[in-house]
Amino acid sequence: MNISPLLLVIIPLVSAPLAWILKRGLREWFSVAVTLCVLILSAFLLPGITREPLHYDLFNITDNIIITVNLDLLAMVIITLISFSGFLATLYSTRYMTQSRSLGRYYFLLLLFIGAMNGTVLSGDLFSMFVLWEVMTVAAFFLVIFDNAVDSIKAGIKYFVMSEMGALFMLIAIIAIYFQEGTADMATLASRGITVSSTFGHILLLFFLLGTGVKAGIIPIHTWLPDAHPAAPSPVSALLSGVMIKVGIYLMIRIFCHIFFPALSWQFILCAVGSASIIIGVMMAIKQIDAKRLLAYHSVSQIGYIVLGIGTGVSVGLAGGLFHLINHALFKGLLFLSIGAVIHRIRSRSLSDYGGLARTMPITFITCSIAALSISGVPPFNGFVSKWMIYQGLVQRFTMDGSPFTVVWLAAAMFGSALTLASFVKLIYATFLTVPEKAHDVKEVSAAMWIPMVIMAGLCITFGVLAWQVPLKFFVLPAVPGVSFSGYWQPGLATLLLIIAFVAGGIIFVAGRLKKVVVSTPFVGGEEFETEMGISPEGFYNTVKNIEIFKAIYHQAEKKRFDIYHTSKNIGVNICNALSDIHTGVLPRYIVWVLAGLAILLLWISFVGF
Amino acid sequence: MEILKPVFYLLIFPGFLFTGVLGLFFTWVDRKVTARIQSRIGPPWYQCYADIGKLLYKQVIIPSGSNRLSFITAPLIGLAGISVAGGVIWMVNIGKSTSFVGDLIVVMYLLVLPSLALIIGGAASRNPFSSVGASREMTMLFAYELPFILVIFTAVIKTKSIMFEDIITYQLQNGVMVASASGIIASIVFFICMLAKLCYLPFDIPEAESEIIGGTLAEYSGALLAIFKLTNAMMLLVLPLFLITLFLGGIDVSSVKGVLFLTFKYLVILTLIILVKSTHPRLRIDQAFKFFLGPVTGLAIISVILTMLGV
Repeated sequence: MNISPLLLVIIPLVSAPLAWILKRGLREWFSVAVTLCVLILSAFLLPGITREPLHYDLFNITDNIIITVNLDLLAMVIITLISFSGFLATLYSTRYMTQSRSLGRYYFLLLLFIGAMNGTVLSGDLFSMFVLWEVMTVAAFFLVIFDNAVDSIKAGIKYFVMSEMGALFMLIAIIAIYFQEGTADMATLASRGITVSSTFGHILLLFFLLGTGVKAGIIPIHTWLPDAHPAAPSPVSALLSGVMIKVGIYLMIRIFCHIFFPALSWQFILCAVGSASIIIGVMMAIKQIDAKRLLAYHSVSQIGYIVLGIGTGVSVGLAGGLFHLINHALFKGLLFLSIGAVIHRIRSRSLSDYGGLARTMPITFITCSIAALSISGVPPFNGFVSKWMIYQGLVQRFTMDGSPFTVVWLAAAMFGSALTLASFVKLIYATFLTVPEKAHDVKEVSAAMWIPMVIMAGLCITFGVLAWQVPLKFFVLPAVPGVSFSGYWQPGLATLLLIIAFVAGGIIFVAGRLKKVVVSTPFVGGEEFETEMGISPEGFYNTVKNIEIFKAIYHQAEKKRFDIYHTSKNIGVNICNALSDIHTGVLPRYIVWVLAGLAILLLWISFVGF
Repeated sequence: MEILKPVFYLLIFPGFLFTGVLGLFFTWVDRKVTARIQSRIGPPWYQCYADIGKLLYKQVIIPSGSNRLSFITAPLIGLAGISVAGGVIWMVNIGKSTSFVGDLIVVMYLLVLPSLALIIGGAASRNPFSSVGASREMTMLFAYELPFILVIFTAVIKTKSIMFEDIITYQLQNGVMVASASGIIASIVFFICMLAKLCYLPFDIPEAESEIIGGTLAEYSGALLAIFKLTNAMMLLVLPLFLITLFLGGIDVSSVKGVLFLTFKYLVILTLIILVKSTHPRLRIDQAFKFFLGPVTGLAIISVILTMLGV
């Protein structure tokens, strides 16, 4: 069967307005059907692309500007991811969004967003890619401000301004590359293999890094992310964090690994930025109390791993980065959906309002725990395998150049993993295990919400346990040629052994008189048991927060000193204020200005000439 | 039958059963020597086995309002983690140049599972003391993980490999790691981190019987407590073996001489652990945190730098 990949873009874009005008009740299932259709299409396309990539011209605008379609395995992996997450997020929305108004607009934007993301990845030339990239940005902007709350609008504008700044840089770079090379077709550019040697080339790469980096959310241009993710509705957060930032990464891989053959210094910069993102992102996440903000900072941190993987410049590192990208879409999407389920029931984003939900929401508890273990890289879940590959990339890099910096990157990556675990222990503890201040009388969420969660959790386990048999074999290794492993990991055997040891322990437990299980009140040394006892989510890492150096850094971060948006806004406002001081509205002062200007002009003419 | 081999390795020898029995024996050594240092007589040799047997017979008390699923599975997670990690470390040494299950990074990650088990168990107990213990355990993990990672890098930097067999082969050819300046510092840092991982004095902050009544273990009783005790006993064997594999030339059990030498190496480490344990008071959590991220990490960095310089 011959399917045009263009349908992946056309179907959602065409049905988006339809979703707006359809009746309530019908439009939800229409949107689900559309996204399911896209998912099935991409599943049909996948096997063909594995054998042979697609690349053809669509139509010519001028002789040189040709709109092309490019669908190789890398693009196909991202598109499958978008379609998959898009479908699950839409299914989840049918229940999650019931209490919102103007849902027509919501589904319109959602389908537009999914279609634009697919289109961005599908584009073979930089111009059409840029146009769809902007459609994606605008759709995401309206989805972020969908609540119409003041915070959401502020966060949305921040996201939009930062994205557009990045996009402008990228547009300049695209135009420059077009004039230099005479074509904007990515495959042609890649076959030429442009080497970066001149200052011009370095500036070009810097602009591309800024443009793609803003979307991907790398340090220090990540600051829109912790604001926009919490502001958006949970299924949209899952899409933003799960796939949209991946589109930025996709383009980064295209630019830095395919089109340019960068000098070593750029790999160094990518590694440095990646490591910084890992550590700073997770350190900020540790102190968050807002559940979605916490997850958003983890996106920054996990994107750091992917960028680090790309920056190693070794095949296994790049493959690890790509695999981590897939995994991150799974577990981060799952985390947003799980926390979304909690928010749906409790109606609060603050960790201190949660507690004890493991008993009332068992499915959410288990899926959220699986996601937390995956993102922390606990074997045998999927996050471990991709991190393990990135570490190998770094070790192989080290054997080649012996650079002390590589050791620093490796330490940052591995330590970041432990910190991620620390942060998620707090999240799980505060949400599901601790004693709540007031008991929550809540039910588990409905099937339309937990089915997507269970599917994603199942994939997190499958992609970890059967890493060699499924994801690496079909998606990752064919997309990245020449991968050589230097480590050893048998997830299947390890899982089997872990389960056996687990069962052996269980047998010990059963042997020890299971019947005699007694339930009794917790022992608190004879005191009256009160719920305020114990440790609050805010206080979980007080030791860490009270160390002087961390305290000082956190204090500065709270004042938004490290927020590039905030800082540049302040600088801009200060300059404008200084300039507006001139405009006092007093006529004599204006006359003085005019005369002074005239005097300078006259002096200029008499001494320098015209 | 091929598939049953790893299962045998894991469950009987050298994994779960062997490590567990031997680990419990060394727990007795620990208790006996500590008693002698404190001018007590100490328990008879079978005391640790008797303890486990007695705990299995006792009733299991589950605190009301706790999350049963997490409360019961937590100790099993820890046991599974240490069993597999122990199996891997034994097998690469016995099997010579054949890997079993995973490499160095895998073992490092598996060794986090016992700590994670304590945290989940403590958090699920619904007891304020346990949650304080869980918070402390996590903070400790945060503190000692960076120096721990760094000193393991020294072995990776020297051998340029993350495979155990390369590290062992390197030491057979070039002499043990600990013979160099960087190796000595690395071993010291590893030793300190090991004390924290084992939750021994002066770093038994998450358990701290005298202030938070056993912390994470406060609510555990009966068979579940027995599993935690068994996990800790296995760690007492596995962690020093990890140190021996990385820095002290690995384990040779192919000859009687090798076994005696291994026993000697292990007993030296065990004696050091016991000496430190029984002569030091407990640190406060913030003191331990600063200690690990300050001087200990500093030492670890020095050892990495020395390794890079080839010293």
